[in-house]
Amino acid sequence: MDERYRRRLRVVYTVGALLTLFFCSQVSAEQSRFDRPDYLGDAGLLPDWAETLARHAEQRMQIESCLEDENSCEDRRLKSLRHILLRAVDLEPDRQFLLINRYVNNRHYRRDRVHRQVSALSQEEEVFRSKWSTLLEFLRRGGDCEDYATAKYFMLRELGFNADDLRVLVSYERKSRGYHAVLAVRRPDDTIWFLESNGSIIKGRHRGYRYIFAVNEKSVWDHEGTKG
Amino acid sequence: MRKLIWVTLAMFAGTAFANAGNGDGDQIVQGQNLSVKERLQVIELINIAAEKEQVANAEPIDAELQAILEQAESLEEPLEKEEAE
Repeated sequence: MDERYRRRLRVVYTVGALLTLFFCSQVSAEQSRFDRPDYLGDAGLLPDWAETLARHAEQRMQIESCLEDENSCEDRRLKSLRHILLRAVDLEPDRQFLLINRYVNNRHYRRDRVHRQVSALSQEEEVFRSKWSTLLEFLRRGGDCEDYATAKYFMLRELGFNADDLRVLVSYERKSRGYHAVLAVRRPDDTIWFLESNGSIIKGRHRGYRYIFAVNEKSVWDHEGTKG
Repeated sequence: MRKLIWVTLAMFAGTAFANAGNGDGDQIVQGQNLSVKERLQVIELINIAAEKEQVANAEPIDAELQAILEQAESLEEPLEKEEAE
């Protein structure tokens, strides 16, 4: 092998290694983006979510009075919620997650109806397939995956978890080619735990998913299809 | 060989330029170049409806948590019976 050819080969290897390093750094940056503030704006920017938060704020009075006095619980579902919250409050966070996750996941699954309405954003009539529910609406009627995640969100808020550590995360599942929502919880060690509607609690990476967007009562974040 | 080096340099320069161009972060969503409003419109119409079966290796719960869940369920039982009727 002549010297010129070897030199060329060395240059090619060097460039290849640089390119590999470059693309790997991009991929690892993408994977840790959950914590990066891909901030879209205030939660009020998503009208349906904002309305759900407003309805929940009104219904919280029912929850609060029920928590204070069992006799003021308006129905048995509120009594059941009261029982869970009062028993959960003294548990360690890990066990609170287990209890809330199981309690919510045991609820009735009900798919949203397709409905047409004028979008507050585009001012045009659009076909909507997802409708967010408050905690009480979910307990009374059941719901689908975003409602499971939202119910867990509201229950953990009742238990004193900080809104900044909780997000309802909407992802695209590559296997089923459908959209799915889970509750993502940031733990004190900065790991993210995903409270799944299939009963599992995933700690760390949520493989097989691409993050699309996330909401909490304060903000909306855009994840632009970041790998889970 | 020179072509390869130029292509590599162009890629690095392009990436650096793209990142530098996002200074007005409030208006432009990184990467997709959509305005916030356009992106929210896309998000608003997503159909989130995955139904998940309970997995066999779901997080196990201890007897104390199981008892709390059963008590909560029993508080709803009369309601479920009424609904069944």
